[in-house]
Amino acid sequence: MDTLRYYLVPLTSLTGVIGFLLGGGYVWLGLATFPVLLVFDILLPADTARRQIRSPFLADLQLYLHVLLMFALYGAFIRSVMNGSNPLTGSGSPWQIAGSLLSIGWLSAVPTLPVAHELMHRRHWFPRRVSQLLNTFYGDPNRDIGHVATHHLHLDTPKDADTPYRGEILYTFVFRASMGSYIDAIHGEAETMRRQGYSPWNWRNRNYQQLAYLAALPAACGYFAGLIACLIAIGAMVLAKALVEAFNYFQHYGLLRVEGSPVLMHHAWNHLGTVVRPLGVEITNHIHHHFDGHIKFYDLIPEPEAPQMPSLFVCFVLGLIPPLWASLIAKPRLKDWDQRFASHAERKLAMAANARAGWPQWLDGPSQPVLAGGSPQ
Amino acid sequence: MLKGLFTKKPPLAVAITSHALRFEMARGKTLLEAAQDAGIGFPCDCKVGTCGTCRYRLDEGTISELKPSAAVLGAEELRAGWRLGCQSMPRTDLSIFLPGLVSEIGPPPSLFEGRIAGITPLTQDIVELRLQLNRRLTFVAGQYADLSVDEVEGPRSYSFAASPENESTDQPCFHVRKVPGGAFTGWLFGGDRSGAHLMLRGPLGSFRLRKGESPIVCVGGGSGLAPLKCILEQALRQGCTRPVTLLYGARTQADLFCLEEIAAIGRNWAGPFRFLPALSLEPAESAWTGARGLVADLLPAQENLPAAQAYLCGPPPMVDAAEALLLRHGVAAESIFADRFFDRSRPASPGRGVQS
Repeated sequence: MDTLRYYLVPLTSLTGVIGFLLGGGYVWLGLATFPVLLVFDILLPADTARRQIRSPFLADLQLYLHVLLMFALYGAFIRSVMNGSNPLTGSGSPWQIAGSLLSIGWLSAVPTLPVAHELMHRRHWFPRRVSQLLNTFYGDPNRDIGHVATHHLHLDTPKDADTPYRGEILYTFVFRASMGSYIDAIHGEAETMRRQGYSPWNWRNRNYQQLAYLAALPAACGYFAGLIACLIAIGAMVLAKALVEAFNYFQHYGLLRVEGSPVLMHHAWNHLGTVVRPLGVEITNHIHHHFDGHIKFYDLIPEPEAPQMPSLFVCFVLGLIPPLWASLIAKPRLKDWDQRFASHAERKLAMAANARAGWPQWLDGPSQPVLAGGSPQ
Repeated sequence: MLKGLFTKKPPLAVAITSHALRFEMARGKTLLEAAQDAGIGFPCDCKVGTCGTCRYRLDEGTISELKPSAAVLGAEELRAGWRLGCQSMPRTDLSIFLPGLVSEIGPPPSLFEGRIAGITPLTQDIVELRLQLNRRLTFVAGQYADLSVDEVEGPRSYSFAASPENESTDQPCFHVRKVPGGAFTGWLFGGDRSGAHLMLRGPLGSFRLRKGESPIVCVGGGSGLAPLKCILEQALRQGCTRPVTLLYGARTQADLFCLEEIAAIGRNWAGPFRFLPALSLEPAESAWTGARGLVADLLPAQENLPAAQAYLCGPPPMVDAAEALLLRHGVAAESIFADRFFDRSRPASPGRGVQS
């Protein structure tokens, strides 16, 4: 049963494929999974249970099914344009274009990022190369370079572009985090090349692969289905990239850690929704992943006592409206984090961050910090 | 190529030639993980190929890398075969060289938060500073830590003064000597600091008891007794039976401290144990019957000195004098280990902080 939960991932992407196979207004079917999943994630109680997986092979199989379905999604999209069931020109085309763009963009982010993320942390070369391929759908093939070496190392510190500052709105963060990821990959590869005795411009530099991957998808769409399909592919990658960075926004918003101190239980937000846990391949069951990035998704331990966020879907919607996000989610949750979880040094960082954000100094009162709890390591 | 994903392969054997250790590992794990699963203290910190703590030298065998070790190691090191354990996926049996195990060199330094749990006067200008940390700290006796408080700019370095019973502690203690005009000690001695918050970065340093059967000669001065006492406590706990001579230099009888603790170590030591304090400024008319003068001057009279391992700790002039005497009396340079205690009025040695 626990293994079956994760098949929500390929089921979601399959819905999008079916939509393009049916054509017409059904191209919106991929995006239509969003409100359905949102409703169930909000209505169903939090899921704090540990997973019991009897067959790791079957648990992993859904990851690779999703990879195939993403290619099938683009194949079905191209086919729908070529056979006329998804006209991108003429009357009614804006509706078709919007449906195609949003469905592909959504599916390129939400089931794709968690799968790609899981695979990039594996040790075998095959899943890691598959991850590179999958990262292409959201426009960041070399994401693993910055993610593993920067994000995991500098979590919740100013060096980590994946950690949003207090007061930072989603729209600017998405841009800053995207640039951070690309810059980390470019710098990381260049430095590695130099130390290996090669020029950063050597053909071995993975950034050439990145450019090739990024060009391949829109080029294929353009070649088979025309310019608008090519632009839709580019647009879907940009949209998906924004959604991917939004994941970071909601998992690390405003958190703080002293550089050099260990990652502890309170250094990530967790979203333990019944839908989002399997759909996100447990990426939202987050803090244990930061203790050890090599733990497979089904072995991650939910931590209900660690800092929690409401449904990730609710966060997504509120994040789009910065004042609501700040007043309903960010400030109350961070105030609680500062008071209950932050160490003495983190409390000082928190008040400095609040001052920069123009937020209240809510720790001026007599409340005492709780010394941070340790990781299980 | 995909066949390798599904075919079960036999385990691999890894020989750590530097430490005469061997272990078997299943494929699909990094060298670091496999070694740690086998109970070997393979040093590590970040585990993502950025810090270089898990570096080892690959002497025989083949590996693949999750991420090139070149991200951290220099070209010279790469050519010499150095790689990162956390990024190495062994493909054949391996023979490797490790610079040291965690039990020898301590875990990588980390940042701790804590409070001052207690300050106990030991002499007129030395106190025992005990901390309460937010988590347990593991260190090798002889190492030190950098302490920082908001009120004073920059960290100050102090050696751990007591060996924890269970290898780690959340209540480390240090011996702090008041430095005239010193900013940190001026603050510490300037009022009731109990409960004050501080940050600790450690463990640091490589001063520690080295393996061997030779006699141990320790020479300490002032608060330099702390790491020597710590080393001897840990060695006692580990059943060390090597002959020990502990020479300690102080100015007057009033500057002697930890005499009970040292006596206890001596009583329980399985081999010969001698403690010889020397006082440099003790009034001539006092009842002191022990040695007078500079502590280093006691060295030439020690038996079997050329065969000894020497551990020197304290003010740089004392350490320099002792080192020169030891060399002059036939002690090999590689058998002399020193930890010089600098303060902010004098330049520090590389890799060691300063006290003030």
